[in-house]
Amino acid sequence: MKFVKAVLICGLLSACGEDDTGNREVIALTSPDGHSFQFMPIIEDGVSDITVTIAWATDWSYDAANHPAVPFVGAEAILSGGTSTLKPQALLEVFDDANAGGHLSAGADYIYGELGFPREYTDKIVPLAAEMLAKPQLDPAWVSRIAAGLMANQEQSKAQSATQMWMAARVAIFDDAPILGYLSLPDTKGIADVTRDMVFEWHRQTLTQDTAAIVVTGAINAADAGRVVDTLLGQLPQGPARPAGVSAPNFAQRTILLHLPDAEKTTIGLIGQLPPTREGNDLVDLLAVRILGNSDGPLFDAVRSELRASYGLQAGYANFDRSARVLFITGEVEGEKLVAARDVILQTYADFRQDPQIGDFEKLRDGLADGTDDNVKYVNVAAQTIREFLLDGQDVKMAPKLGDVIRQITIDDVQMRLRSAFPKADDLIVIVASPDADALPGACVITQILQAATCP
Amino acid sequence: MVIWGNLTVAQVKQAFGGGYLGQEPQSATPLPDLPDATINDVSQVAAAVATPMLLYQKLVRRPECGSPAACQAAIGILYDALTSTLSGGLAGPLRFDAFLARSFEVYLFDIGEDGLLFQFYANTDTGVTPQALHNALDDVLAKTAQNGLPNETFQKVKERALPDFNDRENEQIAVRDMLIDQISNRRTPYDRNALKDAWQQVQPDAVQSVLQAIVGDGRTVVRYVNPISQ
Repeated sequence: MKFVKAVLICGLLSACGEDDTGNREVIALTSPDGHSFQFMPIIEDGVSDITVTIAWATDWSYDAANHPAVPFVGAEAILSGGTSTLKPQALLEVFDDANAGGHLSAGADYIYGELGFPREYTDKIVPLAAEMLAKPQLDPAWVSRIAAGLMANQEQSKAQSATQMWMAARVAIFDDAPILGYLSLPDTKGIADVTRDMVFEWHRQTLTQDTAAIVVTGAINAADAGRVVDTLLGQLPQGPARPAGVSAPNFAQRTILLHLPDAEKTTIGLIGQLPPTREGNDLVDLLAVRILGNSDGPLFDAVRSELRASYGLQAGYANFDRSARVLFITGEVEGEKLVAARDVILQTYADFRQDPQIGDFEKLRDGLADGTDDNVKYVNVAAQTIREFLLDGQDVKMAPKLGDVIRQITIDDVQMRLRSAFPKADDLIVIVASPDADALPGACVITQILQAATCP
Repeated sequence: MVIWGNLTVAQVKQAFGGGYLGQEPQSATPLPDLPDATINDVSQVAAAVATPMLLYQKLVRRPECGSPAACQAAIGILYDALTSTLSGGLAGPLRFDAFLARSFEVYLFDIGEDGLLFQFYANTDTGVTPQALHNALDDVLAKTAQNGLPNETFQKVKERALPDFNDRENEQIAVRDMLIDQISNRRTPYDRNALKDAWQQVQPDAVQSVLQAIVGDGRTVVRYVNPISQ
């Protein structure tokens, strides 16, 4: 009886997907081989592209025994190595001829893969992508080259004060937890030690049939989408997957000055914790941060009127991982105005959090909603949005209607969210990278990034 | 000023009190003529870079290539060919067959009335000097110019771009970007269909003459950039 019911549901769903699924409606399906996935058909004149995005959970970056650069090198090496029968450049040509593209990116707790291709190239591109995923060539020369490139980029980036300020901030927040290795790659020279064997081991652990999310969008019907999913995953090991890593951030207030005698600029960051996106209200947060950091918004107003300066301050939020979401206000300031800038930014944020005076709230909100509507129309953005909703346990059906969700946000929602979920100004970590060790009286002054862990 | 969006000419006129619109577009102010002098300025510099780089720029006189759209098509096809791994491109010999450039970027602009600027920026692979990469680049370009861009490459590059011209999903943004590019480069605007037509009609000779120009006389500035510590 159970068997019959299962078949019936499956049959109904695929029939539903093929014939009755509304255009740009998200439904949950199961592929013939039993993989659950989210499907959103876009059957519209002029749309011929299909996007498949897959997320795999990983805890590689949470184990000190693992080399932290491996996910970055591995993700690129899988895509750069060709297949057993096609050399790297020949494979690239096949993708270019088809106007197809793919990428893998390494988050701390999830690896994200995306494949985009026009409908008529489905049978050519999908099997090739499946082979790249399951049997990467990982030519040692390419692994070394990719590691060398990553090393050079890191070295270049770490020459900047802002990068060093963020590295110190992450040390303050995570102490010596392994995730720091992923977030900062502090041992730049050590990136050269990544071996092919390490990449194989990471690949074996991570890319399995036991995925965290699969989404198919675009010019494809439900039955074909199921076959695409099965082809992409079919050659991978069964799993089980590793669990998604979880970090333990410490956002306790500290005031830290990283003394960089040779720095040309002074960089300030005010950093606090926001609740994880899986708890919802992400869009309210986005709107609040946009209003705060808008070029006509309170931060810029205060900097202009009270400091008589035009610093490019940036307000935003980001995930270190899905457990640790960071709110930040950061930018370069004049060294001699550092204390005043810190005070003005903190006061402005405190006032905004308590009582945001938002003159053009509806205009700002609707502008964001319109922009989101435009963006989510794209086949690949739609797939990414659905994937993020899925990983956060949100209602995926709302993903294509994000603009409408934003339009329903009221000024009261923003006010309430600011007071309940945003950190108090007094609780923000204040971190500065400065050529002047005495620029911020009362700060814990450090000369090495790792010393940030010792600041009270 | 570029106005772009879901609105009619009448709405824009109303918004501007009728003043700005309805005039014939003025032709672009041409940039000054290029001097004829040939320059070959090659030198070493030390900079705050992690690994060695090659910076290569060459300004040449653009050959006759017909209408602005026809010129853009010939330049665009050469650009696509050079950045591809197809035969005649740079990626094969410099990045895949041999590990000389770990990564590289190519830019090809028409400048003013009759100028053409070729730029090549690259990070060298481990153990490769910028000078060695420069020599390899010159060799590859000279060889392709001598043999001509292979017809198969020419045809493939032409075909690959056609779906982009027909891509309605991105059409509005492509039209806007093209217009901004034309105006900011002081060119008289022409529309996307003209470019599409030109792309379909362009002949191998037109592309070949642009390539010949790049390897011919011009004003070349090359910097071998090495990390300060070396």
